[in-house]
Amino acid sequence: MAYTLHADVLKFATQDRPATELDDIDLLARNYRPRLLRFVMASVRDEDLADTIVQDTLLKAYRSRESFRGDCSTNTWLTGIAVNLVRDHARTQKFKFWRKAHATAVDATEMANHLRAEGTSPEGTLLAREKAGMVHAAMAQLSPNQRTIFLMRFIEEMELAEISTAMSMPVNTVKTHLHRAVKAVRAKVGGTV
Amino acid sequence: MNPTRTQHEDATLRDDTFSRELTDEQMAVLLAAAPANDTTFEADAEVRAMQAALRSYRTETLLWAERRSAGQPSLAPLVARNRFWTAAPQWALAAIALVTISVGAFHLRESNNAVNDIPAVQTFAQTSTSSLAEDNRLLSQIDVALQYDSAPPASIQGKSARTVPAVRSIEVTN
Repeated sequence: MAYTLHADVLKFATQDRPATELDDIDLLARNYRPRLLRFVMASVRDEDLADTIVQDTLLKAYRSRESFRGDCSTNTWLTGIAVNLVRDHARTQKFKFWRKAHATAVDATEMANHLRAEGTSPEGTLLAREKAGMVHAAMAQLSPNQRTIFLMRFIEEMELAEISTAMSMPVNTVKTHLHRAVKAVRAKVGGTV
Repeated sequence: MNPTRTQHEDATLRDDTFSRELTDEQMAVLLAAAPANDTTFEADAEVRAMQAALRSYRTETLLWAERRSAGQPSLAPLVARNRFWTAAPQWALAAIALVTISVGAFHLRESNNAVNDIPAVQTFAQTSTSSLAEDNRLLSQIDVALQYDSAPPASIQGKSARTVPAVRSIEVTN
């Protein structure tokens, strides 16, 4: 199935949205769901759980939209909510169950195998998937905080200050987690790519 | 953040470090920066390789997420269902309070009935003044008798048994 990226999805990380965007739950979902889903999926590594957490994130954001003061971008605010929900799930038995299930399930890098980028050769697609799989496998070795911060910095392309806001952490702590994550991913990916 | 300064810092980093192995801190900075044009340094190759891997991951996973999101149902019905409850909190809270008070009152009445059903505890009857006086008189007689009986024997006081008067027998009358 051919699929094209929404232009607004690609540029939303760098722009603040007008407040009216938060008043339409479907517009909110259309603009932010894909990135949130990617972020949460990379964190929890379970497709159904990721769907649930993203849905909860959007609903929670919509219900508490009055409390959004615009101090940060909508993306940062939503990511912060998602981070908290992922943490909440990590504390529950339900999440432990899913982690056990994941250990015996097919690796989640299959999300890259479901798709085929248009306009690329089969060899190029294969190579891209291989690289994506290596990054995904390397991130599996990281601690939850390291993985989350690594994702925010290099996959969601957020600034350190934004990560600090979303994670409720000092910037220096964010940097420490990030450097450790880079070290681990570099050891796994750097020498083989 | 000033982008010009960042580019300058990146360029300085490249000049200073690309002739040797990059530290993790330098790698973290360079990974987030724009790709460099020069490829003469060995360390730059590692940065480029890492950037390419991350770019692949970013693209592939976003495509997956876009496709999966497209199949998700609208959240509007969920919001509308919840809005019904949140839009009318006054009557909902009032109903809950009414039910709570009713249940509480019912239990209070039941417990009062239960208390009334308990038989009264039997208490001692009040003794009359005359019987108290009689009891006192009897106790006094007992005291006198005990004091008389507890007097030391006559031999201890050096008296002969013949000189000691005979022991009176005291009758305690009721």
